[in-house]
Amino acid sequence: MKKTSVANQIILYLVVSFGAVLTVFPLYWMFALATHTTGDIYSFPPPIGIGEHLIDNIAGLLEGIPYLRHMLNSIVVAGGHVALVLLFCSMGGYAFAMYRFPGRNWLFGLCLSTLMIPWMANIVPWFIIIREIGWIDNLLALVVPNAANAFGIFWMRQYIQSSVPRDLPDQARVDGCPEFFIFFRVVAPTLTPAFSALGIFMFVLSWNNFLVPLVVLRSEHLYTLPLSLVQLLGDPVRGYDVGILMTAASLAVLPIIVVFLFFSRRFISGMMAGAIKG
Amino acid sequence: MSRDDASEGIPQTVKRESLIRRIRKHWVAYTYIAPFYILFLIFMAFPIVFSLYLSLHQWDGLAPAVFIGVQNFTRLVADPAFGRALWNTLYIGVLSHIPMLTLALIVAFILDSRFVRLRDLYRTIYFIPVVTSSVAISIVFMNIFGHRAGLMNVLVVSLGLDRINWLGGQGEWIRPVIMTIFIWRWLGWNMVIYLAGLQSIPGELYECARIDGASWPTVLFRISLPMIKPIVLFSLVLSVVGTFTLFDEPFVVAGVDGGPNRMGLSLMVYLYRSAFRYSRFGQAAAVALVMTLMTVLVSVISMWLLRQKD
Repeated sequence: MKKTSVANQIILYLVVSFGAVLTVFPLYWMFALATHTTGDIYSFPPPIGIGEHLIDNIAGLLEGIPYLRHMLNSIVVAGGHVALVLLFCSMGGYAFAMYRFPGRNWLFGLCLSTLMIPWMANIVPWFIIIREIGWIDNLLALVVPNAANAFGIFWMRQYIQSSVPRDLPDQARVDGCPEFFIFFRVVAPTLTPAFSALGIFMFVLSWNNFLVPLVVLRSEHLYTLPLSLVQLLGDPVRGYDVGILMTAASLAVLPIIVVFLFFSRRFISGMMAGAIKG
Repeated sequence: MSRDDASEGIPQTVKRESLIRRIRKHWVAYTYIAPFYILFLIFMAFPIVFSLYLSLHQWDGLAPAVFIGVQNFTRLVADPAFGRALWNTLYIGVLSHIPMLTLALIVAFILDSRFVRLRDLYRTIYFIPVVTSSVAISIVFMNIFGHRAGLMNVLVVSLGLDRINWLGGQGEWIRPVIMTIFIWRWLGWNMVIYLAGLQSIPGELYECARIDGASWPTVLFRISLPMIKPIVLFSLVLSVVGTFTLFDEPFVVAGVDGGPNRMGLSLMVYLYRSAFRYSRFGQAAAVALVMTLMTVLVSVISMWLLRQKD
């Protein structure tokens, strides 16, 4: 294999850079439109640069709907969901990685097989259960049901098998730590990298989830951000204000991107480790 | 000691214990995995069984359910909207993967080249769409494909053509718009998986090829592609199966009725519409069964084919 010539290198760089620009551009344009009035946006050709009306649009948004409340709901739901996911999935992953108990392989197989089921398809009977529990119009319906998921357990098990020394729990046993607390006192503190990668992933999924809140939530003050956006899109009374809509979309998307950029290396390699082994 | 990783050495004593004693001895492990199985039973296993029951009944969610046999399924077959939704879902699911796969492979191959600097930066940029909200992004693309002042029509007009009514008209452009959103969101995810696969190919293989003076197409088709083929096929199957439950994009872009001529109606939107618009819970359960069967069939057949080839 010869070395790539400089001309070819430039062409290849142009190709991947063009793709990168196409990837970022819709996000840039979303933010750019958030700084214009709807009148400007509907002129032809539409504005490409940054305008001066961001503050007006934010004011209009907060005046129109309880957007900050919706954002708070999203934060509470995603945060609570992540806390439960990390607790349940690390416990499950630890048990499957470190203990040998009757039925282990069978139970683990059952757990993995749930990954094959398109659970969204069973939204109707799921909805009936939620109704029976009394969680319609309750944020708990967004936090609890998927908290112990097969992906998280599988992923945590892989991580624990590959990075927790087998004699770490033994050491704690010798020191007289009760069996039940060994995981929490000795093992869990070493799992911080796994917690952050899985945590961000689950936070993103929960933050962007649309179908479940659409089915479960009724009162406007409980809406999460995706519902808030759809409400703005289809608002029959105040009409469809593109500038305000793009402001709302930007505020829903940009915080996640910032968090992602902070953790991107660990996040991507963590997820890929799971995806490739899976 | 509860963790009997030594049990392989001394199976005699372990096996002599009664099952109940062994289960009690491992109560900690069972407690740790209990949350999953409790939530699984309530929110997954029961809904699946209940779904089978519902699919044979007529039920509006309130009055007592009436057994109607397979009528939900015969009604689905007779409903042109269902046929439309099924066709749209398969159309989008199959056709969007051709450009996505090709583009993701091209980008992954380029970024895998030894001369590329800032590989992590490119990887991060291409991955950004994965973490964005599908609802927000669908709304952005509705503007990009806007009739009056969308960027796409700026491009179309600058080429000297008439404006295209992407989301209106006869609805012929709705599917391409949904596919564009889908490709935009998931290309980076696939690319990063392929890139990770490429980077895990041992360097000695390339070294040998270099010594033998192999040209780059030879390296590409004889080393790189065959090495990452299992990863590519596996993620392709997952991705195609994932499109069977496509909901957010068609719901936002085309609405709950699927837009003009229902050209944007997907199976999942059809299901949602049956249940939560028309209170036909039995019919929705029948759709769910169809979707589950599609998923299981495609997964099982493709896994079987993959195993055959290896």
